[in-house]
Amino acid sequence: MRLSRNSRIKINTVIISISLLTWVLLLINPGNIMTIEHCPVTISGPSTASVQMLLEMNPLSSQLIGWGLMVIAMMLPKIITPIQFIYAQSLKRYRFRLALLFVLGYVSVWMIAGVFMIGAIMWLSLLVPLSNTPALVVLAVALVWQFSPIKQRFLNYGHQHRVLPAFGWEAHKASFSFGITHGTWCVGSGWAMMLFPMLLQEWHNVAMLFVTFLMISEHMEHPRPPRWHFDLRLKLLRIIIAQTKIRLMKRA
Amino acid sequence: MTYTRKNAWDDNNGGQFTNTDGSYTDLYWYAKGVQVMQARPISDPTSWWFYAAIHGQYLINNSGSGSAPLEYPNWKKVEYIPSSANLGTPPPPKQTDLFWDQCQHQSWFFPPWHRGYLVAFENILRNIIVEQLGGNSEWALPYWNYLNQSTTYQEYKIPTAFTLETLPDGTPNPLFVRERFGPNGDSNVYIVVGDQQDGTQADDECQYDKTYTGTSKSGGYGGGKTGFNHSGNFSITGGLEMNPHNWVHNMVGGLNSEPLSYSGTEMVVQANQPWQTTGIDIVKDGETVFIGISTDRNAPTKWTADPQDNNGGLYDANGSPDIIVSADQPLYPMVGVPMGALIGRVGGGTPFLIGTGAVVPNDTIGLLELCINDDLTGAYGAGLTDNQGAITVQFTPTPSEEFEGLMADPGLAGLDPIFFLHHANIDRMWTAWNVTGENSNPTSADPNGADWLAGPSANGNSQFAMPVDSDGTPWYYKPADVQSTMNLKYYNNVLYSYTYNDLSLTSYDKQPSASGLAKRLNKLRGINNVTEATVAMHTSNELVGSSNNSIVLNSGATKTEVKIDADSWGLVANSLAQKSIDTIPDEVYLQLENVTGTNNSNFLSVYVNNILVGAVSLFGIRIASMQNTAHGGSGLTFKFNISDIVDDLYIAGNIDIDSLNVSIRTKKPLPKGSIITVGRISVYRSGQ
Ligand SMILES: [Cu+2]
Repeated sequence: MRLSRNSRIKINTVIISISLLTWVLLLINPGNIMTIEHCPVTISGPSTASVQMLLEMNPLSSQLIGWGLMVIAMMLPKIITPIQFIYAQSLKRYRFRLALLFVLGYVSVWMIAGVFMIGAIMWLSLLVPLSNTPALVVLAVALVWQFSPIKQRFLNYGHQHRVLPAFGWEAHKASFSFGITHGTWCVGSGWAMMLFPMLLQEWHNVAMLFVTFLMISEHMEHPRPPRWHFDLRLKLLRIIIAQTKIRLMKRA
Repeated sequence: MTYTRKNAWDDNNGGQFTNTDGSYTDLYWYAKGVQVMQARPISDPTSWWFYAAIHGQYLINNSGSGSAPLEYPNWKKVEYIPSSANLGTPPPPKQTDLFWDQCQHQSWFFPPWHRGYLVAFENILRNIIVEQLGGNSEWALPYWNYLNQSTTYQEYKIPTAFTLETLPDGTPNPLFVRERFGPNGDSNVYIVVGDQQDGTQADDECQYDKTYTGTSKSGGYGGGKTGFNHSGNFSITGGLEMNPHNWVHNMVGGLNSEPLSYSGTEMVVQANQPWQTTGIDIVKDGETVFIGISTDRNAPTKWTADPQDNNGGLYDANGSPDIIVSADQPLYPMVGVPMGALIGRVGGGTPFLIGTGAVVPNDTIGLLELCINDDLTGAYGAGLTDNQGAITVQFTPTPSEEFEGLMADPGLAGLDPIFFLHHANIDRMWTAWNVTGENSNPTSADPNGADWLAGPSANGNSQFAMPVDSDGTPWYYKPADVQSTMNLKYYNNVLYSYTYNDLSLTSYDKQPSASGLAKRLNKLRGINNVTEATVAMHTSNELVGSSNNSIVLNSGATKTEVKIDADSWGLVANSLAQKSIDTIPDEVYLQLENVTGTNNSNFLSVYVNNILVGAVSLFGIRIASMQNTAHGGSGLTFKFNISDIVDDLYIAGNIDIDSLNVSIRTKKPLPKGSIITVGRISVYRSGQ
């Protein structure tokens, strides 16, 4: 049964507020957690010394925190639908807990992916320091991935909302594993797009905003048979335009 | 000019091609026009095949219908489609992306989308009839009103013109479709009207609904709001779409039953006799036989194995509600199952439980016999001597493969010419609901009304589009354009008007069911003075119980227990205890969630604590269960209001329950290898 309008609005407000707060945090970039710091040693090409130096200037832990914040800011709005779904399907006293378990499962998949992606970024920044070439290469890969049948397959999987058991341990386990599978499909469809802004030397934040918009948008599209589609899947943009038109017409 | 759509029976000389004066009827011109459209290849947007694919198709992979299956229902395996349709050369993707697989089901767009579809179709046909065939220039699509209670014609039957193999001119009749099997799978096509024990009759009660779009609880007349997401849990089917629309699709399409000698035979099993022969010989690994309970209202379907039991009341083939035969009474044919249940055996072998329906095991050979599970020899007491009543059973062969009629599946339905007469009737009902019933479609003043008027593009989905010529020129329309049949905004903003010669609000149900809330309050308080009660403003929906696992349905009845959560159920009990007008009692709903499968033509009847709470048609289940479709493979979700049963529990002082017994009964046996799964059965409350 569908959630009441009030509950839906509440969920939307909470999730979007958390996401916005995280965005503010990211834009302020405290302690430079979002960018790779360099010094003369680290731009001299890969060597034991330069790796050590880079890791000292950019400890993995702070890189991961930055990554985690980025995931929360960018991905939370995308999981509003599954969270509403969990709320609608669960006993009231379990709802919040189950949603939290789902988010936990979901974020942990992105964190594991993060370890690899940060590794790749660090490696690239030693290989070709302060260059935009890696970003451009990843952009090319991301575009090919974007239109590919494999990506469509991942997006389709992301629409699978399986029925959850209602009671006890089973219910909790199922929400957590729903988070993990949903996260896996999300990483599968979005990994290349996430990597791109992180490799940019400038315009990092703008690229991130843009990617977020694309990702939310493509998750709103209906599933379709996996084949090559040259389409950016801008459903969110279409909705915004149509709804603005409706509002304007009402006023006129 | 206002065109008038007329009754396919009354205004076509009893559903025929010629009038008494020898002139041709609208049905004749329809058939001739269909012939012309069918002669065109599928790549032509004005061909019959292209137009059918606009509704849905299984030929190419597309978002609406996912990946086409390789065997039937793949269009290449459909005999009705001739080779001249040239299925090997479909239209270019630009056209199929725009036009194909558009049908709007489980959605508040169901009525307006289908209206536009019929208008575009009718105009193409009229052009052909007038310009190519020199027919009637005022021709309009006839409608089949299967609920009409005419005494002149039996209008619940498919009009005669659809059952003839040739036209008056001797050419093959395109209205005749072999893949149209009817409610019993024997190609006798009619609509089941009039009360059925399992609740599967078609009716027009929906016409009394006063709101177009429902809330989270009920779909209203036209369906629940469709936003950007259209998977099972987010879509709500409206009353008009559910019954009669879905019902009629299933009953016309049906599932082909293999013609066996005993097909449709009935037999009365007496409670006071031991093993009774059916005369059916079971062949090892041969055809399977399904035993069900007769749905004929007049046939006896109750008995008892002990008049002392069940407060003297008779019970059905499931047997005693409280006595299970214990293992220390081995002289009963079966122990561990209810006393008084219907049982069977093959060749005198080990008995098996039938209850209200079962497939006969065919791993042994011999004569099939049936009887009541009772002390047959009188070893423990009165034996059979005090038994009363009888149960009427029906035998149906279980089809060995899935072979459904075209009308039963949205991906095939548009191929059958009866489709357009059925939808003309649905459109007629919507018009009558607006005009005669004085009910309003969503307006911009309603909370979501603007989204309805603007159509799916308001939520980022494709707008409705119909090709108006062989170049595939699209007419784009939104619900606002087709709100009324008068001055409807057709292609190029040309105004188009049509009406129906019968706009009676209802044809069958002559009385609206009494106002729900007032009736409830009177019953709960044991008084009779509440006449008017305000509509409940329920603000909260929450889960109060659920089955543990998913449930795979058997042919016939499948029973499960739905566990009730004590804490949340307490709220329901409390709200019932208050029963005043200002605190309106909770409504309680039973929901079958994520029902998946391929057997579109079946019906499910749902019982709670042995009381029928409703029936649903599975029309569209195949597409809804396919992964790469707009539904995302989540299947269909059905909701039943069970407040009445909960009220009765409360009145009887039995409100403290820890489970509900739910039984789901398939109307027809499942085809071999066909699986229907219910993801979860849940109970929700809706209240403060
Ligand atoms: Cu239909």
